Amino acid sequence: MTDMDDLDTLAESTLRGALRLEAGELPPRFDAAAIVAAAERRTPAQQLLRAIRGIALVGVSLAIESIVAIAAFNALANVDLSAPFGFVLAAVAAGAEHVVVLGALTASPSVGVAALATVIFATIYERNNRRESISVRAS
Amino acid sequence: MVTFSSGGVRGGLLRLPLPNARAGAIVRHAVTFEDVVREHEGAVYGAALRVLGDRQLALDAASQAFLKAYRSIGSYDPSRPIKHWLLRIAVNEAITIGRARTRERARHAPEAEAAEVPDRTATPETESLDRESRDAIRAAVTRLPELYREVVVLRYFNELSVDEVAAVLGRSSSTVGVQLLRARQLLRKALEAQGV
Repeated sequence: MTDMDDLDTLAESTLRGALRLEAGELPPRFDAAAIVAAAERRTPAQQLLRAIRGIALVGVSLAIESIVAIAAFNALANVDLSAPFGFVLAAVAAGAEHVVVLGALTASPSVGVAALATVIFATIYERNNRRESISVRAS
Repeated sequence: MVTFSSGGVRGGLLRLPLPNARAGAIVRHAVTFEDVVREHEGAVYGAALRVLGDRQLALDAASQAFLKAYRSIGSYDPSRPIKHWLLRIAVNEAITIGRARTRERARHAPEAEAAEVPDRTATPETESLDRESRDAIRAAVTRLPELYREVVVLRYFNELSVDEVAAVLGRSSSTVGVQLLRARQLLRKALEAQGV
C-alpha cells in the first residue's frame, strides 16, 4: 500500500507524521515494581470475591453431581424389566418341558428294572474279567 | 530486579527470543519484567494515547496493560514477539477505557464538552505538519470506529506491518488491508468535512 494507492484516502506518510509522538508526548517512566506490587496485591473485596467464586464453584459442582445422580436413579427406577424377565421365564419353562418328558420315562418300572439288570450284568462281567487277568499274571 | 512471578513462570525470568537473532536460530535470553516495561513502554503508551487521544487515560490504559500482562504472563506464547502481545492488551485496554469514557460523556454531555481541551503541549519545532492539520488528524483518528482505530494506530503509529497487525488483532491480513484503506478514506472524509 503506497501513498499513490487511492487519491480518496489520507496519505500514509501524512498519517504517520501526524501520529508520531513528539517531545512533549514522550511516555513517563513506568514503575515496574509498583505495577508488580499492584498486580500481586488483592484488596479484601477481591479476596472475598475469590472466596465466593470458589464456594460457588464447589456448589455448582455438587449441584451438577446431584442432578446427574438423581436423574440416573430415576431413569433406572422407571425401567420396565418385566419384558426381559418374561423372556427368561419362557425359556426356562420350555427347557423344563423337555426335562419333564425325560423324568416321566424314568418313572416307568420297566426302565428301572432294565437299568438294574444292566448294572448287575456289567458288575458280573467286570468281576469275571479281573479274575482272568489275575490268573494270567500268577501263571 | 523485578521478575515475572505469575502464571507459568512463577518465581523465574521470562525467556524471550532475541529480536536480532540469526534467521532460523532459536536463541533466547532471560529478561525481567522491568526489562519488558522499559523496552516497550513507549509503544504501549503511544498506542493507548493514539487510540484514546488523552494522556491521562493513555497512562491508565498503559498501566493497566502492563498489570494485566504481568498477571497473565502464563498465557503468553514465547514464540511470538512480546511487543505484539503487549500491544494487543494495550489496545484492548484503551478501547475499554474509551468506551467507558464515551458512556460517561453521554451521561454528563454538557460538562464534558465544556471541559474538553485539546492537547497543545507539542513543541512546534518538531512538527513536519502544521499543528492544525496534525491535531485534526489525531482527533479524527480518535473518532474512527474502534475496528479501524486499532489498525490505524498499530500500522501508522507502532509501524507494524499489515501481517503483524493481523497477528496482533487476530484478523486476516487481507481484512486488515481493507480496513486500513477504509480507515484512510474515512479520515480523508472527516478532514475534508472540517476543511483541513
